[in-house]
Amino acid sequence: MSRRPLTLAAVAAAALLLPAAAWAHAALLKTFPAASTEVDTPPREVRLVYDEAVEPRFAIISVTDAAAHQEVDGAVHRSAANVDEIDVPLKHVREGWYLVFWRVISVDGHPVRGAFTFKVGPNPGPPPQFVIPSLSETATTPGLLTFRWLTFLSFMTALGLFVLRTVIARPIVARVSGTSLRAVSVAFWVALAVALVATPVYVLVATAQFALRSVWSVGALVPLMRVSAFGRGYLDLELLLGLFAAAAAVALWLDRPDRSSRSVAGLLSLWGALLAGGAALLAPGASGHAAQTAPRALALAFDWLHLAAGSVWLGGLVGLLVLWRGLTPATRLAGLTVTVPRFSNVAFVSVMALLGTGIGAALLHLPTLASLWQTPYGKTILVKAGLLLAAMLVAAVNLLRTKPALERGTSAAAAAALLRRLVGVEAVLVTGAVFAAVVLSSLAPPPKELASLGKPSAHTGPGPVASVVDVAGYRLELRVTPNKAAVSNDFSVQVTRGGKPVRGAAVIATFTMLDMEMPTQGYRLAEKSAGLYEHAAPALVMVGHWGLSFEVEPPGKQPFTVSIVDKANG
Amino acid sequence: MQAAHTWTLVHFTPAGPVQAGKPTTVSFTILQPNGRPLTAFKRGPGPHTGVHLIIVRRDLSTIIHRHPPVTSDGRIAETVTFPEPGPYRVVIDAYPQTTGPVPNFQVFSTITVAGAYTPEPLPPFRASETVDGYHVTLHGTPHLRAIVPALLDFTVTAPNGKPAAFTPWFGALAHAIFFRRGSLDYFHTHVCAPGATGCTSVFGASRVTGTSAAPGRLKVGVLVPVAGTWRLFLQCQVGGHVITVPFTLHVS
Repeated sequence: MSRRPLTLAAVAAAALLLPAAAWAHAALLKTFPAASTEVDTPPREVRLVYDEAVEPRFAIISVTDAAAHQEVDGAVHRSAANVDEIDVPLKHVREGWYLVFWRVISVDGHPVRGAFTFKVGPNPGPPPQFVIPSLSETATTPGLLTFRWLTFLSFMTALGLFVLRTVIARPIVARVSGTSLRAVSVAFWVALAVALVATPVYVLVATAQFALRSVWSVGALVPLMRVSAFGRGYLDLELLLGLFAAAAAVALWLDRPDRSSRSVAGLLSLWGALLAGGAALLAPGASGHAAQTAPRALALAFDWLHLAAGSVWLGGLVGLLVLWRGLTPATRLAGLTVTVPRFSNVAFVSVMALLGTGIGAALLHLPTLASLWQTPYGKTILVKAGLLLAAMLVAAVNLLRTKPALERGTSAAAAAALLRRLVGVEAVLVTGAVFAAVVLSSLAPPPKELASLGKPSAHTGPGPVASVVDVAGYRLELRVTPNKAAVSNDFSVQVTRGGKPVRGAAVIATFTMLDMEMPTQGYRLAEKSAGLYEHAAPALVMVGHWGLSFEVEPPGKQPFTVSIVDKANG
Repeated sequence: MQAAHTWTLVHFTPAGPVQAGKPTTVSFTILQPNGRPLTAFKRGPGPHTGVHLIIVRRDLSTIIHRHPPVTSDGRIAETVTFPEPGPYRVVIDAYPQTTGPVPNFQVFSTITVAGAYTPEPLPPFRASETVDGYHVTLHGTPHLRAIVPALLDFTVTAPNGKPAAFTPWFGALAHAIFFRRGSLDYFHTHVCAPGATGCTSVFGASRVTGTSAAPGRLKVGVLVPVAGTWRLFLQCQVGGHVITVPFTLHVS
């Protein structure tokens, strides 16, 4: 028994790496014409290649010249040769500069936007300063998050309540006379009803965002609900929840909890219902990024196990509270004495499963340890892990104090009262953790290019950069002016050591786009004055986050590298 | 989408048709993306400075190449006499004084010279041309291909039969101005004097320039962006005046 707290502490520490299902956003891999290049033949179309399939029905590609004339000549369509590519035909464009602005919906239902320029030569004319529309659109709007949370919370609670009702708490009816599980059954039906309503409403709200329409234009949105893989996935969830409801109704109708052994029909119907519920748990993963991540079977299995374990824990906690209220004061103590130890064992297994699958997904999705506290995705993981950690601490108190007290029977009444409070707190914490998971699965995981950048010394931009970094006895003053995308920027580094300029160093600046995969650019900075190294280039070819690395090799000394993560706006 | 902020050509004159054979003032101002007139241009010894005003008739039978002065308010004016009626394309090749890598850009306009316009067909490729008594010969049959750099080898012989002595004109020994038939696409390279600074022409990532190793010899760097028939106007200063020698080149 004395090893238990240690085990729990280790488990809690590991929970710091606990993310949700492995969902991400589509990333633009390649464009034609290539970003920031000149083509001498007017292109007949613009082609965008992503790292996964996107929804052509909801994709927007705008191609405008400097005067904002639209040059697109037809609808966006998926390439016949490559499912990850979408194309849009162009009018016959004249020489000049063009801004391509795009918005797509990933198959996991997340909107992503981007912009780049290209020019048509041989005489494209002077470079314009394009006004780039907002690129910040997320799946984390309050409405979407609320319905996503409601959907997950209700169907996870319903599944957990069903497991508690039919498996974990079932023996109390036979063992403690005068008890019934009616309250748990009622709670199950309420949770399932909420899930059956919340799921289609969530799809409707999400489809409204995909189509950039009001949620109230239901007539226009309903035909679009099955157009996206995301919509189909969640409508499949609805269907499976309906199936589960039917199977659960049969199982609960056939079940006689007052008999400790089950009938064959009862067993069959129970397994049918559990299978239907298990299939419903598969739906979010199958329509999300888990289905796009290799190895697919493993990613889906992780996703399913993560949701299943969370459901058993959450639904069980809610069920314990309902049971408390549903039992008469006379039977309450005896009822809990039967249920709590059984639930504790199941919950312990669930928590272990949550941790295992969560850590696995974290390893897949976090490129660096620092991205845990430097990116919104990482921060949400910390919040979620923190909430689960608190819930686990509460659970540990239950496991180590209340459960033995209930079993011993001495001061059991006080223990039961404490248990109720603790279970309530735990349920609230897990509910919060589900919300954090909902936020997490709506955020893009940090770019994997971060891993190649090393530890950034500073986060800069938008706007002019003036950053001082001390490294290896040297002081570097980094400047980027005006730090705007798609125009020329001045990059300069003043290198000093002990207040004296360092002359004759080799300074190489490398530019890595962090939001999209594109080739890295490198420039050697020329020494303009003593210790001041400069280069001007349109290196920040698009709006977004850039990894800027400055490799400095003072004459005859060890080279060192300083990196910053810079945000450039249009 | 909003319109971009860009460099624009404003107050361009003449606004209407002009007369052939009469001095005409061509004037304009270039506005920066921030809306203010562009007054600061690159300066220095090389040809990549200031403003180049290049005017060609649509059939490429005539070229006018000037380097007009810029006033403090950004107004640029030059007096030009058009020899023949017809439509003319005006190329303003500007080298703004910016810290960025965009060395220059072109803005375009048109001028109509009143009268009947009979386009002259481009003459076929001839290896030798004579202008003002100067013999200019292109050696070898050039096999030019789009976006493949090449060197054209010229000799220039003075009327007295001796190799011509070039004197730098606007920072280069010779200017090679290329226009494409029909689309009037434009580019411009230079032949640099040995040791000249700021003369090299850059196209994309390629440095294209020419050399002159001996009197009367010109090697002109060419990097043609698209295929088609191109007119090369070779300009150099010999014996105190500027000669313009046109060649027709086919690029596959």
